Amino acid sequence: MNLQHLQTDLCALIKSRPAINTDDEYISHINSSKHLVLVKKIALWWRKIQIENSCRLTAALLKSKNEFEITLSDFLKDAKYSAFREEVYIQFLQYIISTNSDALLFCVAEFELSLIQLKLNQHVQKFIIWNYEPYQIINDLLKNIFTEDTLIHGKYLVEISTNNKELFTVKNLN
Amino acid sequence: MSYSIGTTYEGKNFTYLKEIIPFVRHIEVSPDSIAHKKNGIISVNETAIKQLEWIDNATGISILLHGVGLSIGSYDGYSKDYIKLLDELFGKLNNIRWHSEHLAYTMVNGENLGTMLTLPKTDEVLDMICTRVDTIQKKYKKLFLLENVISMLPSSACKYSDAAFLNKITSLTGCGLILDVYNLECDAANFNLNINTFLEELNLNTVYEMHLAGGATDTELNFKMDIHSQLLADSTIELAQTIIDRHPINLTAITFEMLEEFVGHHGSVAIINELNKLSEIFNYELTAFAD
Repeated sequence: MNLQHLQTDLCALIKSRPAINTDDEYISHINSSKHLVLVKKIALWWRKIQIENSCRLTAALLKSKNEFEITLSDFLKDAKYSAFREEVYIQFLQYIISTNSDALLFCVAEFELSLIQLKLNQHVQKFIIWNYEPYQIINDLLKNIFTEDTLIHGKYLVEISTNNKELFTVKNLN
Repeated sequence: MSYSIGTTYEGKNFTYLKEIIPFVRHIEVSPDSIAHKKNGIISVNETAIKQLEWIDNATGISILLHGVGLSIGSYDGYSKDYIKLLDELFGKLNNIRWHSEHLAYTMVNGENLGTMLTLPKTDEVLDMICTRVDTIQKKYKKLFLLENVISMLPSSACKYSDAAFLNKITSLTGCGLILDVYNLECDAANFNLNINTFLEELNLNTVYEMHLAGGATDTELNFKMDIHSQLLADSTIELAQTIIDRHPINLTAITFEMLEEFVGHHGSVAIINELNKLSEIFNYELTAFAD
């Protein structure tokens, strides 16, 4: 098997897709080996430590729902993520925003992405409607004590803008 | 013989950098970890550039660029984005001693594998790697080193042994090697690499730098992992000493690698203690890098 076929098939297996050369003895051996499990586990581990540190709010919310590892695993399979670590966590948040139907998760990921863009000196003008009181959520996520039981329902406009003095503002629309 | 002792810096904690500088003679920086994309163009972030310029201008410490994302072994070509970062860094910094990359691949058909895989040791791969090393050496006119990475998958069909493959690359291109001592320990534990046989066969005079690190074992899969999360084990230092006892004539640098994510866990004092320990063991002298 030449290098192109070997690398393409190993990439497919790591991304949990079927290999092309399934009859090849080596590919077949790898497909059923503990080593493939290990490669996936290590890829997940590397991204996990990077994303945990860089997307604290979104990671904490996903962890509170026991969905962090599965979401990360799906991201690694589905997304063509960057080789550069400073891009990967931004891509992860974009992935959450584009694929997730959970309203709170969407809000938190959008909020966090906007703050990161602000920190990177990019122009930001973002309005996000939250259906829950945001300060308590943010506080609880930062302290890793978030639980859905304590959510306060309502309607709040969160603005993140380059033009504001504060990182963000919250307006109660109730 | 004296050796320059250094450690990893990933551009995010200037206070930590200033703490460790008095205890090192070189700093290893990964261009990948200090890169960001602005308006779709990859570049080194401004804060990191300022910090590296400070090292360059104010400390007399050498910078060793150590890549992760070149993916020199991808069949469909190496990373052009990584090359842009090298262009930028070589253009802005004066005190880059050498640059290096892992003998591996991380990307296939534009997809990131999320880890590094070793290459089949065949003539096809040998030709491809040597051509790419030649191109890189001609472009930057700086010593270029390749590092042995750990095997995570069993080897596919190979014509050469691990050491013979490295010897072929260095003899055909004139590039040097980073010998990662901890990676040898991992391969011995995971795939029964005979380290003595490997060292007997390897042309140690092509080794310019040694990497020392500590990692962890995945107990579920019984696999020793190269994750740079721990302080050094005695066995790693002893193996490094064994290699030094074989008198590799071009070896001048020993780098203690630690992931930035774990620096806080151990604390800068523990890292400095480790650097001091290495200096005491390996006869550190300030003249090690004198040209």
